[in-house]
Parts: sequence; C-alpha cells; structure tokens
Amino acid sequence: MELKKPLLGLTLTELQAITQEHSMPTFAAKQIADWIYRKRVTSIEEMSNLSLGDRQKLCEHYEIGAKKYQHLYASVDGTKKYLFATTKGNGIESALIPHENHYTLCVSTQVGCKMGCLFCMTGKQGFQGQLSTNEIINQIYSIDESEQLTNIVYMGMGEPLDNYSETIKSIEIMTADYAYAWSPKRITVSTVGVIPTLIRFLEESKCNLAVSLHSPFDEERLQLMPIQNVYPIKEVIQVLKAQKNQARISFEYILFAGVNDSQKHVNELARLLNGLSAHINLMRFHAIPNSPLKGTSEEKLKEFQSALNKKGIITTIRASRGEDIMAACGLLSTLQKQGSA
Amino acid sequence: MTAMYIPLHPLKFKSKIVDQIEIYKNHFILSFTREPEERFMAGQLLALTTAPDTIPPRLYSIASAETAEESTCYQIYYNTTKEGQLSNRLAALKAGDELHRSSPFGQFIFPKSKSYFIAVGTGIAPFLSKIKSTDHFQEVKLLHGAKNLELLLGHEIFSSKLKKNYIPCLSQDSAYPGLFQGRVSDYLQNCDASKLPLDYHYYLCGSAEMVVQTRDILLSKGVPFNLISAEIYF
Repeated sequence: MELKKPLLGLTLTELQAITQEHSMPTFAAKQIADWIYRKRVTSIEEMSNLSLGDRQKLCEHYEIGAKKYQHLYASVDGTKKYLFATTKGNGIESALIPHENHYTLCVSTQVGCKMGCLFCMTGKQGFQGQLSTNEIINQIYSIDESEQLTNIVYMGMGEPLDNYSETIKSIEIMTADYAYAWSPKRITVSTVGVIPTLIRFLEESKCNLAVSLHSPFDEERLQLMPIQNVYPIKEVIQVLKAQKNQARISFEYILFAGVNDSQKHVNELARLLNGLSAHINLMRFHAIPNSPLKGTSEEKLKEFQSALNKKGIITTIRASRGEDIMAACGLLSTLQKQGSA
Repeated sequence: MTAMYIPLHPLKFKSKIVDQIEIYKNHFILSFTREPEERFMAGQLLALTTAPDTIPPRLYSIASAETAEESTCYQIYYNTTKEGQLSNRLAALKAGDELHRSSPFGQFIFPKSKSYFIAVGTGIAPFLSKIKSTDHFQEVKLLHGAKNLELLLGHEIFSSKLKKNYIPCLSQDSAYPGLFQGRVSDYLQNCDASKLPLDYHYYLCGSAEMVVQTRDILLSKGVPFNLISAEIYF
C-alpha cells in the first residue's frame, strides 16, 4: 500500500505542482495552504472550499501529516521539552522557552549532528539523518503552545545550514503570506559557520543569524569545534563583514572555565569583530556527562561581559533555562539513545 | 552585499582524470592532474565537483604526497553511497575526463614528530599524505581501522615506515591473526592509559560518530582535550 505523503511542510510551489498534477484549479494550492497553515484542519475532508472530487483525489495520496509529540517534560522554570519521533524512528527534541509574554521555540533540523563540537551532547549521537521540512514544521505546529509562539530559534539538534534546503523551505513557510506570514525578525538561525550555505542564507533570507564563536583563537576553536579546519572563523567573519544588514547578526559564546574566559580572549574578540556591528550572547555551559569542560563562575561571567562592553561590543548574558529537564540541545535524546535517561 | 565577498576557495582549476581504481566494493582512489607549481600541506582539502553549476562541490582530503617530485597528481580516497550525489558521478569518471576543483586549503596540518594519528576508513587520507611525504619520522604513531585488509589503504607503506608504531585494526576480518581484531574504539578502550602519551598531539579523522567516540575514550583515559584535534567528514 502506498504511504500517504504529508501536506504539512509543503511550500506553495510544491502545492501548485500537486494541484497541477491532479488537474485541480491553480488557486486550489493557496486554498490548501490556507487550510493547513492558518485554519489548522486535521483532515483533507475539512477543506470545504475544494470540490468533493478534488478532496478525494488528494486523500488518495496525501494526508495532513501532523504528528503529535511522544513525550513532554516540564521544568520548574516553565521551560518545556518536547520529544518527537521521526519517520525513521529516531527521537528529536524541541524546547519551549517562555519568558514574560514571549514564547520561543528552539527547533531541531537534523537527527544527531556531523559537527562534533566538544561541548555539545547532540554530536555524541553521531549523524543519523536530515529532517524533512515536514518534520521541522511539525515541531512548531504540534506543540501545545503552537498558536502562542512569538519566536523560533533554529538552535536545537543539528546544524541548520548543513540541511539547507529543508531549513530554508521551513523558513519560507514561516514567513510567506500564504502560510504563517511571520516577520523574519522573529526567527533566528544558529550556525557553526558552514560558509557555502551561509552565503546563500545571507542572500536568500532576512532572518536573524547567530554564529557559534566560542573562541577567537584558531587552534583553540579547532579543539572545541572541528569545523574550524574547514571553515575558519576568520573567513566566516569576512563573509559577515560584507553584509549590509549586520544588525541581524549575533555571536554565541559559551564560557568555559580556564579555557576561553581570559582578558586575552576579550582582546582578541575585539580585534576579530572590529568593524562588525554585531553583538555577543554569553552563555553558561550546561554541563554534559564526562565533559572535560567546566562552566565559568558567575563572577567571571560578569567580568567578561563588562570587559567586552568596555571594548564597545554589546554583550548580553543569556539566562540558563530548563536544566532540570536537560533542555540543552540533544541532551535528553542522546541519553535516551545511550539508555541512561 | 555578499557579492563583495570573494570565496577563498573558488573552483578555479580544471583537472584531468589520470586514473581511477576501485580498491574494494564502492571504495575508490581517484587520481587527477595537479598544476606543477601547486603546493599543499598534508591534511589539506580540495573542494571539487564534476558540474559546478548543478552539483555543489564537496570537500575531500588529499591522499597523495606533498611534493610534486613524489606525486605529480592529486589523489583522493572516497566511497560511494546510494544518496551520494557527487560520489556516484566521481565513480563514473574515466581517464581523460575533467573535474572542477579549488586550490588546497584547510588547517588540519601536523608536525613531523610527537603525533598520534587515529583514522578509520577513508579518514586515513590526510595521514597517508603525510606519511608518504616524509621519510624520517620521530615518534609518530598511527592507529588505523577498517573493515578488512583491502580497505586498510596504505598499510604496506605504514608498516614499512612506522614499523611498530603502526597499529592496524580490522573490524570484520579475522584472517590476519597478527593484526588487532576489532574496531579502533575497542583497541583504545582496552589500551592501558600509560600507552597514550601525554606529550603527543592526537589527530583524529573520520565520521562524526567515530571522532566523537574516539575523543570521548581518549578523554576518559586522561588525554587533555587541548591535545586532540579532529577532522570530520562533514
């Protein structure tokens, strides 16, 4: 029996290809998008402005394709972690971070990750596969707070720019008038700096960009992030400096005690980012099992922030959330995969 | 304004295929021309593709020797997969065909001494390049894993040049009792921590899973993280 394909996660162009293939009116594609993304119907039968015949044709090959999460973990601080099963039977995570009247969802783009960063739990799974646009959008569509969301950050499992085509399609669905019509300013894509797709992203998207920096020194960054071999941070910065709209760029910097938290690092960061009007988000390290890295003390964290601010770099400290539910990306699913959670 | 940015690794060269050998099922060594004046360091990469307008380039470690005297062409070691958009096209190339490539680049480079190389499968390429390029080694060790002897690319060169400092591991071939039977990770797990010197730098090359697993074992055996560098096949 033919497996039905999901409509959720299809762009207007893809829906138009379907309507054309099934000899449906051209405008039916927009109607289908409206039913799925705005009216949130749960079955094709509910698409009442499509003819009965067209609905039947669609039903033969397609379904809405929304999948409920498998597990939900709630933190005492309000953070929630949703676990979804992929079509290949793997587990992926999304974290909901409420703050005052904002709801930010951190979504995954891959199962596992190829980047192997020393401080990241997702990398310990190895790379299991790419998520489809359906699986990315489903994380946004199927959580309990879907209609309250105010921001999306592509900072969950995986490297979004290593799954570029599906990431960019999901962004289209989030921002296009035919679907969710969000402002791109409400969306942030995080990357280690995969230069070829970074260049495409900067040309094709108006969303915010967060670059994982973590050390301004080549050799040190190489030990933390193997991607430095291939796409050194200096080349990433060169790409970013050529951007007109630099306000949408930020850098992520996790502080590790005795590793990347010295005045020498402040000085080098100032040199590296000179000429860019971007800001730095300092992050506390969510400890992962057997890690040789330790988080910097609160005092040192504030000192580091102050030193960067003195250098003219706008620097904020991101609040740690959901540590009791292992909200750090990949932590829960990796431990489950390893059989210890 | 990204048009202002000139990528540092444009596909500015066309190379002619010199030779293609399938050393084992779906595992190939591809040789192609190198410009006489081109220099590179073992561990560096080439971005290459067969059709720059339609197939995005992928990165391959150079497996041939650094010096033009030793090797007048580039070699890469790769395997094909069902989904591999480029690798299957590479596998179809014959002598005389052309591919588009960048200049060599990358920062995964190593000294001649006090280096502990660890590689699995096609991840051997950067270390093969290094060891082909050098005759006099001081304190260089290589832990090399593959499924079977056919896939243990370069094992004759390594045995001859590194002698006892070469440790081959076969994970699915028990026909060679003199070699370690098992994965590289099994070897390291069973290895006494005193055999992992703390005055060496460890260089790992392979898949994300291999690198992360190997790095975790080394860390658990007391090797500090700042003595470990890795190249992952992205």
